[in-house]
Amino acid sequence: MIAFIGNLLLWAAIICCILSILYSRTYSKNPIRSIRYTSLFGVSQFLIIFFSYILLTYAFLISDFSILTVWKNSELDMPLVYKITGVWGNHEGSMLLWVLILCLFGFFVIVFDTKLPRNILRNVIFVQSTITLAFLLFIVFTSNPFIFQNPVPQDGFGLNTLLQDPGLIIHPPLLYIGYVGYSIVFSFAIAIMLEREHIDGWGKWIEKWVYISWGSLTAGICIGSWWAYYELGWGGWWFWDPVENASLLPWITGTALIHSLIHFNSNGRHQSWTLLLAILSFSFSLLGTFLVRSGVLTSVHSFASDPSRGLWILIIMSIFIVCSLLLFFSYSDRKVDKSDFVILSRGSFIQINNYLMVTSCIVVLLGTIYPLILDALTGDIITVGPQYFNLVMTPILILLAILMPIGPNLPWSGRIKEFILQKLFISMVLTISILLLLQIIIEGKSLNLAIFFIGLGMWIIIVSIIDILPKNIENISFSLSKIDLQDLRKINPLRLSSRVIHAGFGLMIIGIVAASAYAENKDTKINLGEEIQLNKFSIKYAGVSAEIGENYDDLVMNFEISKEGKEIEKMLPRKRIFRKSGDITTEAAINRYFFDHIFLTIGEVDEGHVFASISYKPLVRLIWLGGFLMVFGAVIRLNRKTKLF
Amino acid sequence: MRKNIKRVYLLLASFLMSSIAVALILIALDDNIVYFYSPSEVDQIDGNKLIRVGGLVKDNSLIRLDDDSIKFTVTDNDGEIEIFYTGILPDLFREGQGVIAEGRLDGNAFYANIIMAKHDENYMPKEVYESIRNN
Repeated sequence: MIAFIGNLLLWAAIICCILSILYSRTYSKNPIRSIRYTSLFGVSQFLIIFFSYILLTYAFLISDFSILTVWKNSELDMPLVYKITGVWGNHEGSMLLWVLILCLFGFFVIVFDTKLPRNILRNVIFVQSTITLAFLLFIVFTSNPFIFQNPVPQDGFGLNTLLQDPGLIIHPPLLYIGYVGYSIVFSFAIAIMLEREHIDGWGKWIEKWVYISWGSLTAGICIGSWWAYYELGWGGWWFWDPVENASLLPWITGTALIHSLIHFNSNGRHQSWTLLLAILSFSFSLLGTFLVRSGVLTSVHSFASDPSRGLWILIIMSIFIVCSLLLFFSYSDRKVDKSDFVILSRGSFIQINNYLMVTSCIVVLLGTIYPLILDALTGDIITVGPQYFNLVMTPILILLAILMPIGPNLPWSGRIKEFILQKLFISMVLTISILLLLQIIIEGKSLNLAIFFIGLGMWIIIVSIIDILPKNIENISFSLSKIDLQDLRKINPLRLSSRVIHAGFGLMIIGIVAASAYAENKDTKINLGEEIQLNKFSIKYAGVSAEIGENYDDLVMNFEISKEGKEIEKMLPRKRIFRKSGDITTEAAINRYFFDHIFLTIGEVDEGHVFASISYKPLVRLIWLGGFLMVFGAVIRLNRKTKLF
Repeated sequence: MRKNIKRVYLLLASFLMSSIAVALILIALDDNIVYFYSPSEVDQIDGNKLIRVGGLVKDNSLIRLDDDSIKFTVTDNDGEIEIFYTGILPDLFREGQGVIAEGRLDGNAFYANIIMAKHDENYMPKEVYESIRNN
């Protein structure tokens, strides 16, 4: 029954997409009817797919094992929250979520973007429906979540034990909103290029979609990093894994897009860059989808694969990318101002930023697909190590870190104001002073590049803070009680949001450098009652206990952490045994110490001793704190438009 | 400045940046490519480069040594190689299952820095699959 209705809904949605597409093409003949029905079927697409998604979730909730997807990815004993979120923990379910979000963005544009000219709207829905149609056909023919089976099994396989974790609840949806959000930006770009004449000020139409996508993608990547950090057992938070890189590529072009858009909205320049970056961001989203689901990559992230799926995604992706790029290169807008620029202006720094972003994209893309190309050409199987990525990204990052504090302070045109130069000078003096202090305290006479990088991060933060302080420096009171939320509201929201985002990035840099350069680790056997020293901490193994969970049993190792003789905390890393499958996962214990982490994970457990890996990671929390600060900055920017609070 | 001269400078700057980027990439890529070998291919290797070896863990080959490190044998049913490792084995490591080790060759023995074992959402231990099938 569920399978029947599910398939019916999918086909109904396909028909709605086709009708949307057809009606959008009749605009010149009968604009009112065209808009009415294009929008109607755009909304219907969303409602129908929404119901089909609810239906699939319902099948999971009641454990209807006649549905193949439910049987393969759920079980009777699975905790409720994973029955609901496990819907997207597999290829078919997550593809349906992908399409749902596609329709959702189309729906939002129809319902909320009421000021949009109707001829643009119908083309946005046209492109969006085309994308939706392509993926719906892909789902129905290669990845149908509603496949029926008879006889109905008693129980299912359950969800992959690594996925039975809170990370599954937030990471995929946020990522998908990010990836799929760029589809609507793409649709707008195509719609703009389909018009013969120049359109003034179209940039503001895509602003919120650009920030929603970017903010969501940033949050999704951050949470993914955090999840890998505590779940995968060795405290790494970024592996330059091909699937991680696949999420980074649209993020990089998305960041460049934000900046191009700022320039475009300010003085109408960089229209071509904005259009191209919109196309590239969605193209990279599609590439990411391809890499993850086609089976060409081995990764802890990749879905189980069927080569035919990979082929179809490759075809869909290629068609969209080739067509949009052809349109882009044939699009010429005579009215765009191509006059010259001054090096020391905000616009040219944005230009440099664009080049740096594109370069880093090429570099990351190359490292990611080089193994695929080599395998196809010579049959050699290779991996590109993280050192490659670190080596090539570092100089780019240094340049970006220098652009960040200076760029937003430069004028769009004209000479740089005196007080800006003063501000930058003061910030540099401040940064260098703190740097020297740190150098003396931490390193003494030895030179460590890490201090320099931390200094870069600090400079970004210091300039960002100075930038949002009120202009009359003399009026600043240093008493904390005087700082008022009202004062924050008076600051220009665009300035506030950009400085918050940049400061977040600076914080991330500091966290990354400190956690990498100053981390300490011991992999060792600890006997019962024995105490190990790491940095300023003592770690003592106190014994074993047990805990019972819904579908698992935990073997808990009790550790006591003390600093200078005083006990700080107990840490409880564990081995989790899932009763049904016998799978064992290691759950690490993480102790927060100001902005540092003590990271404890267990290998073998035996009578009287354990093998443990203990790490001290200074300032590692700044990585995610910085990331979320960036998301917060995007939220501030969005709030200016929609006034949520 | 004249528009044309500016364009030339711009072009030169772009070209310079691209060349630096390409050079950086090639240098970095070269040193950081890790080749993968199956156990039977390992005898072709010269020297001490960082490589990856993968295959199935031979049954009953996992042994803990006196200094608390471990060794096990990896086979591709054609050739085998002994792998030495100090550190914590991943949870999914199991005799009879697939594994990839990254490290360096020293004579006939392979010293691993990292051991990787993984499965995708369709993994099902054979015993469990059989029992479900039979019920």
